[in-house]
Amino acid sequence: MPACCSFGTCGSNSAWRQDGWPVPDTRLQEVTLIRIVAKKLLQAVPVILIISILAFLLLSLLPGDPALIIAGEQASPAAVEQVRRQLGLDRSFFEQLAVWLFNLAQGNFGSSLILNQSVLSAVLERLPVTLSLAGLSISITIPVGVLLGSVAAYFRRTWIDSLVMTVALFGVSIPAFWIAILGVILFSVQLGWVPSSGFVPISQGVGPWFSSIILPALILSLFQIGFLARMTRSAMLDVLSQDYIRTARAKGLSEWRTIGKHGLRNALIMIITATGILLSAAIGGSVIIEQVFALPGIGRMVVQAILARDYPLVQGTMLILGFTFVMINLTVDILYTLADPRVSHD
Amino acid sequence: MTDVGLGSLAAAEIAAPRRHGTLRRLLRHRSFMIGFSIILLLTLAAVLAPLISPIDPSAMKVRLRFRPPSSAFWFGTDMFGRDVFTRVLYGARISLFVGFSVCVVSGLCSAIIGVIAAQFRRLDGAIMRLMDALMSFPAILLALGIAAALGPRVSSVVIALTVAYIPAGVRIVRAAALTVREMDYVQAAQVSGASSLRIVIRHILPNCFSSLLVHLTFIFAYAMLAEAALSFIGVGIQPPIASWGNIIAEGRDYATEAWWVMLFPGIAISLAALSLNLLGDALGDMLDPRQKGGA
Repeated sequence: MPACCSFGTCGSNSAWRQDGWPVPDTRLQEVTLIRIVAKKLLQAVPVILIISILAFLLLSLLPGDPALIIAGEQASPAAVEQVRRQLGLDRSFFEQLAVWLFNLAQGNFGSSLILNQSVLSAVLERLPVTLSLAGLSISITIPVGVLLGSVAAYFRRTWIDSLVMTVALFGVSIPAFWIAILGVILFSVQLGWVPSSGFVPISQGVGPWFSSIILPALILSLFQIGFLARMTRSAMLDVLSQDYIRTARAKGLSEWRTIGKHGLRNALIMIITATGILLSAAIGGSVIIEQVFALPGIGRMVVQAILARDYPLVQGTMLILGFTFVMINLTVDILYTLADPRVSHD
Repeated sequence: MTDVGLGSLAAAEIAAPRRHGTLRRLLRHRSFMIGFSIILLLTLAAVLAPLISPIDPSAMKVRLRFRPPSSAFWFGTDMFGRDVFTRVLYGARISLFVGFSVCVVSGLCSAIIGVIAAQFRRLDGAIMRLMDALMSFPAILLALGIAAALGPRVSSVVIALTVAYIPAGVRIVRAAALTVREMDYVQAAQVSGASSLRIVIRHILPNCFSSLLVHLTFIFAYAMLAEAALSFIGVGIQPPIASWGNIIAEGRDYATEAWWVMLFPGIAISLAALSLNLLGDALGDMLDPRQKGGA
């Protein structure tokens, strides 16, 4: 008899599986699931609207006359007027907001002043770079971070735990852009293993693509591995102290099965949550890393746009990224609900 | 009324020895002491910068450019012949100031907004959707956008990072406040006629404090790292004001020949972030057992 039933807390009307999970009532679960997903989708609508309005307000944060700032101090009054008309700044606030939202509804995120291109096409053009970087980084981070965290939890309070946690602590403390410069000096300048900057599209061969992106991706992973290892360790410690782990051991399951099946499976929920955070953080971090390695991605474009005072490009890109992050969070939320039938929803 | 008074008196008596114990345990906690010592040392170095190094951090002596570390120039000199050690000291002032201000201001704002969301249930939906919207951006990207719009000033960096870190704090305070609200003693206080303000100040805020404090210690570290990153890419603190991030940016072009210019500020940031993370871990261990390892 599993230990969880010895206190009579699991009444006879609810069956429990051996790994400590209640056997779900499928029909009831489906109905609640649909309701939860629908609720999450509905909650995302105001969030998207708020992001759109916030992005619109970004331009009004500019101290002084946006048209003058964008056109530059030396611009002729005619040029300033042209910028003003082009951006619709000659209209009233609410008119501008209405036009902005109307354009967004049609998928028009505005157009860049310096690139002669719509914001959407500029972002899509640079998406493969940022996606390669963030994607590769995440695929390094998750297995390494989960493994390190689990090992530390399993060997808690031994030197292995201290070693892993010290490494993780350094990972979340050392600034990525700084270690990136050191990495370039070591691996590109001294050893000559990888190019120091630039991006090779995957269409020109997987090898060259990989060597152009591996160092930035690894460096982007350092912080994230530290973060994930710390999170995994604390989640695993929680799981390993549960009754069903003791039960699994007591009934003679091998350690491998106990940890692998019962332990990790329960920690999975935490890992899904972490993945959403990590994916957002990887895209955020790539803004900085792309600068160091001169990778022509979205982050580098945003920074160049800021320095060139191309505010419509900044605004539009932030908005597209904001929508992307909302979608990522939504997906994570839904996966989370699927993975953990116990999740309660207020 | 008397009951509640006695209750809170008893609670205070019970709480006092525990608080004492916490302090003693903190002093015996190894990572707390390591973290605390490093951050104290860095703070002292920042405050006493003019006494430690009498050199002007922006005094250029082209004749002395790119001198390697020596007894005269502990961390060497940069491309303008400025003393890197002095610049790192003055950089500590900016970086610690930004980190600390962001930590304090975002803490205050999260406490206020979080309590409002928890107390005035009708505003909760609107507030939390706004927080969701802000939180859907990675903090660094949101700060980048705001700092860019506000212009390159120290205050813009503080405002940008504060806004970026408020939502996470609001979530923590709101969650804690919602739990405390349901406690019997709060309900008892409510029934006996205590005002909402009194309940918030006497019961809800003290109970949110430890989770918030642990969280803010990590925010201090994140804010410093983020300030360095923003200054590094040219959107944060602008030269000639020295910040650890912009010293690294300036030293980057000469990293192979004059490695010392970018090396030492990087070590300084890492040490500061490391010590704050250690502090956060230790405080988490002590004050808030639920929040292990922190994040």
